[in-house]
Amino acid sequence: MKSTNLGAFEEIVLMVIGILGQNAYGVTIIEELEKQTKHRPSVGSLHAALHRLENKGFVESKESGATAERGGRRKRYYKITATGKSTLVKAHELRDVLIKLIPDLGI
Amino acid sequence: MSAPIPPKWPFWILSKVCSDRQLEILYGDAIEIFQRRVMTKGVGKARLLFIRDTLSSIKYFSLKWSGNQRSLASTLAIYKNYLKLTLRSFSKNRLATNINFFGLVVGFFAALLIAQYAIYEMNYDHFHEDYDRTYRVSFKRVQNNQIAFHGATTFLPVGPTLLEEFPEVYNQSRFYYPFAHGVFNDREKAHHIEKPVFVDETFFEVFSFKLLEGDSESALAQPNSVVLSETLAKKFFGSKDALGRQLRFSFEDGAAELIVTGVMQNRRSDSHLQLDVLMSMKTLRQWPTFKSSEWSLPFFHTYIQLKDGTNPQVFENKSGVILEKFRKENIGDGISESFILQPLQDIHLDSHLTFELEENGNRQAINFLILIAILILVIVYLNFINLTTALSSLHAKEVGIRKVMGSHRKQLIPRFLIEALVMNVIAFLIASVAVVLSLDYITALTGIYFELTTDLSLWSMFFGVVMLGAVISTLYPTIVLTAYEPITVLRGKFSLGDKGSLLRRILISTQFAITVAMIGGMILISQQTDFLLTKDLGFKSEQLLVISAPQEVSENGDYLSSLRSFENGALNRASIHSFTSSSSVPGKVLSSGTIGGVGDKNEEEVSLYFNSVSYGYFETYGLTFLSGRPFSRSVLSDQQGIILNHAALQSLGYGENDNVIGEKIIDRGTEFEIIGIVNNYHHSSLKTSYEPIIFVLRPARPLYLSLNVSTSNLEITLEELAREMKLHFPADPFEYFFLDQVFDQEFKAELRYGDLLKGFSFLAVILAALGLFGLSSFLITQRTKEIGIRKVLGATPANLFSFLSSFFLVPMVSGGFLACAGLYYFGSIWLRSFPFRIELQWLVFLAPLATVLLMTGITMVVQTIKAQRILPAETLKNE
Repeated sequence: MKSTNLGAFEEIVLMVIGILGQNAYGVTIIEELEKQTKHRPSVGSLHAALHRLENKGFVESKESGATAERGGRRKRYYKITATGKSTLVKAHELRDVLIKLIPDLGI
Repeated sequence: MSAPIPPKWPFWILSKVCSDRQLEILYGDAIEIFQRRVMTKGVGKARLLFIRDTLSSIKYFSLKWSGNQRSLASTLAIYKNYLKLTLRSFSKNRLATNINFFGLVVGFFAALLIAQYAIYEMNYDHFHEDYDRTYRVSFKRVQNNQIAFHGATTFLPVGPTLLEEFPEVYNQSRFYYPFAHGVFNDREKAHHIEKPVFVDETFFEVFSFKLLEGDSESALAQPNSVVLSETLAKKFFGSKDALGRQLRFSFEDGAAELIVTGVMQNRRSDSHLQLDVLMSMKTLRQWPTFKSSEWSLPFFHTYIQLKDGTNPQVFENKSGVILEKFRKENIGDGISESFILQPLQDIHLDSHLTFELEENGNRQAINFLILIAILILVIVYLNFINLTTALSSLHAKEVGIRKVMGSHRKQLIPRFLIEALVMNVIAFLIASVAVVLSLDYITALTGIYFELTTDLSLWSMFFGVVMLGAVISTLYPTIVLTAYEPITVLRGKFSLGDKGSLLRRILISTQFAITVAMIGGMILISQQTDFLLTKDLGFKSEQLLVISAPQEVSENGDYLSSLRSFENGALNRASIHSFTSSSSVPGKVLSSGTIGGVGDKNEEEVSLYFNSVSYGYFETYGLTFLSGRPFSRSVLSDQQGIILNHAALQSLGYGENDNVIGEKIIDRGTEFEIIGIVNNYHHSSLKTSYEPIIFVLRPARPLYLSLNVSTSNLEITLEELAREMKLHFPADPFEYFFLDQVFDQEFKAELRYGDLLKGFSFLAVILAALGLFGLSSFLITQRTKEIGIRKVLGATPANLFSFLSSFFLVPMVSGGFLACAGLYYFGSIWLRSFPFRIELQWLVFLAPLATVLLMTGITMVVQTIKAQRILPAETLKNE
């Protein structure tokens, strides 16, 4: 049974992939994450998250663009799927609703 | 400028564990990040972070095996299938499987049993806490380049002196045991106890025997204290508390009232110290026994403990200093004395000195048994290889089909390895259980006592060895099997040709050699044992009753006259023909000592054995005189007379034809006259040379009374003797044995060892026969077609017989020759270790060769009959 739950780190990664658009692959995602969150994940943990996102069907990937900079190895580009987008939106709406229900925040 | 490159090894690691798909992306990302970091952070830091990045990408999702559950499940299914096929092939080839299995179980059983016994023997005295730092100080005296004395014992003050003079020694403990038994009297009954010992109060510090009652520090600190073993305490005092009870002890040097200060655990069978009674050393010191001769009588077993880091060899060399200091007058020209340190754990197997505490084990015998165990294992595995290869043709079609369906050779190997391992594991488990269950029975049967090791690491080591052997021995059959070409085997032809024939010939040659060697060795050993068993002892041992001499003097009499009246009372009976007393009887310890100048040539001291006897000793034991005469009551000067045996004559330096009767020997001021020379006889053992013995007439207290009795109405005679003794020595127990029984006991041990070897050799022969059977079956299946053609061309059964046998001729001759050479070489060495031995006889070589020949012949006849039944039409119609 596939889980469709979206974890906190996964959610951020998913959003970053959305921001990057056509240019979302390992290195750019890491750098964008560092820029936006001041926290730099390791290659391994990022790819673990990407692997999970792909398994859940929130992103899809294709391989291309080997460069000399990478020692002739290909990149894997990620793109948000429709399910990914709707899940992201749903998660966001839920947060909006929930956060307004907290009385002391005064929003 | 060449671009900086990241370290290479992380890639290697990743490539081993990560799936190819993930590897490329992960590694690509890592390199790209590295390149960017080189710009911002410098090469060094970038490299470090690169290593972190790459290694951290080894996560579950990136592993080769993850996300791949289907292939894991299918691998398991394959193995499950292999297991099923294994069991099926076992039940399909029941006879072959049973033969193979039987061979494995029997072989493992024998090897395991021997290994257990050897381990037990080699671990003697390992239970002492500091066993590896404890040494026994033995004393060696060399005279004119010959060892004059080498005893397990040394002088009374050696232990304390070493402790005092050398900082390396941190503890010492001494033993003294009187040469005879002592009598313990618990007010109700007297008991003779063999080897009661006097020990230092440090006994419980040096040796880890548990004190069950009493305080280990103070138990032996006071004079007249005694510690008893649990069994003995029960024997003396029943279930009542033993602590604080009194015991009267008497032996040849004195008597004392002892107080029980401790009860210790019973004897441990895995120790060379078999002790039931410990008396404090201070008890001994209150008698004058060794007062004036502390540095001249080497009678004390002395154990010392060396501090960590002390080199025992170096210490041994310098410890001799104290001998030079205290025994100056005993060391002269051509005489040197030294201490030899014996590690505590080696005493049981390696020490065979004068005055051992018990008859020690024999490392040579243990090594020999281990060799047999290894040989048995070799035969078992050779059999296994032969039989498995022989069965391989049955698997040929399976291999062919599997290969056609796309199996690699690599994938087929586990299929047959599993079959072999399953068989080996089951055989090992059955053999282990059999060893555990049969241990008591084996002890009862052979009289060899040992305990199984509880050390799990040893058991797993056995298991490891067995498994390793299984894998190695499966290798060859597996290679043979998996090499089949699918096309040929599926066409119904699976001859191996001559590919492995050299190897097979070597295997069978080895097997023949081992079998011949084992049978020959067994014959040699039983011949030598028989020789010793039937050898004339040199004295009369039949109808000789030996009574432990009384030690307690009756209140209103003196010892000698009581003994005299006992003797007269006994001799009054018609059933008792002679009565004599002595300090030793054959089979019992002789006291040893030195004798000073001989005749007028006041030469150096000579070490000899002494036996103090009374009148009639020589007549009772039927010893023959070479010259001179026995002691006689009618010659008064015989009180100063001595009688030598032939060996003693030689030790004293007399020639063969010297007339020594009437010669004088002066020992420490006293003059003795030689009045007779008796023939040599075996006093203690047939395995040692004749001891030089001097017989002196000593009317003092004897240890044994020897009586020549009629065997008719023995019960009545014994009862009468007991009553007679009670009359004169009311406080002493009546304890006796028959002399021939003592020697029987020694031989029994020898016979048992011989029986054991025979049993194992018999096993080896059976195993070898099994192997031969397997191999010849293999041969026939390989050559069914050839046999068919031969039969079509008119081969008779005799022709077939010689054809089949021809394969075994060369290996048999070469193996047999090799074995005979080995037998001759090692047999001669072994025989030379006996002073009394047989010559190597042709039988030793011919009998095993004949046995093997017969065995092969029978197998070949059986196989010829089988081959005869093959119908040429059946085998030739294929193809």
